[in-house]
Amino acid sequence: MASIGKIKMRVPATIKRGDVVTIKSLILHPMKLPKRDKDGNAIGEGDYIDKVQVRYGGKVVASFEVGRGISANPFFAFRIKAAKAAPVTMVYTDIHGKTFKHQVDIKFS
Amino acid sequence: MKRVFGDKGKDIDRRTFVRRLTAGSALLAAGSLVARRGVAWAKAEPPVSKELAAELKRLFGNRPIADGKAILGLETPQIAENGRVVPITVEVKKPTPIKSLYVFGEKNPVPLVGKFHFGAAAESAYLATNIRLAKSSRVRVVAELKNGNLIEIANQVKVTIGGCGG
Repeated sequence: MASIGKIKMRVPATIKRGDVVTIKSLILHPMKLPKRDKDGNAIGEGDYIDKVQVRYGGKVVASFEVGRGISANPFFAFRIKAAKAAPVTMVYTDIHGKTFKHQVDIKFS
Repeated sequence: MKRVFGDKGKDIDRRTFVRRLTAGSALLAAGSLVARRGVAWAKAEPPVSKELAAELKRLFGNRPIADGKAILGLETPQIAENGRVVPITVEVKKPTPIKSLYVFGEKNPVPLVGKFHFGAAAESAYLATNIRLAKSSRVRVVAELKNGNLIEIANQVKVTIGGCGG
């Protein structure tokens, strides 16, 4: 799949300074589980995202340590307080160390 | 149906019939309600699985976990048709500084779904995500407050098709 790692992020269209905004994000990723033999032993490691970091204006505001219990094409929504006009960056890291990054700007209207 | 006035006997008969019918159905409904409640009660506190108990011990040691229903809100579907994608939402009802949220699918092969840490700029701990559930089980969320206390909330979710196969 060529689109693995494609990230969508959504912030409200109009934000006022000091608002608490909900940010939604979606990344295309199969979150593949390790295959298991008939005794239930894992073969290989699978391929899934295990770290998500959210930065707002350079500071880490949230970090998620997730596992295989997250659905394919992981979706996360969280809230931050829009105190300044700055970009919100999300960095996803999979278990093989590959990173996927995306950012949206928080702008005041 | 044409009503026959004056034919008292018949009228009363019909009335008693209707009355009995309503009374009967009300009883029946009450009965089934009690039965359903009974099931819900029985399911409310099943023993915690070995894996989950081990996981909780590994993460929190012997720290007590208090009931967090007053502070936390957990939204889950009652019935998840597909265990592969179960939307959950965790919300903090009372403004409480929360450091981390730990989400568990109680009967998953790996019960810990994720740890979600929130920094100062994150306004309260709000989280919505999709998780996998292997079987019908409770989704449990343990929140670690800034002062180190632990609180939890859990919801039963019925899963029609498991999500952790293979």
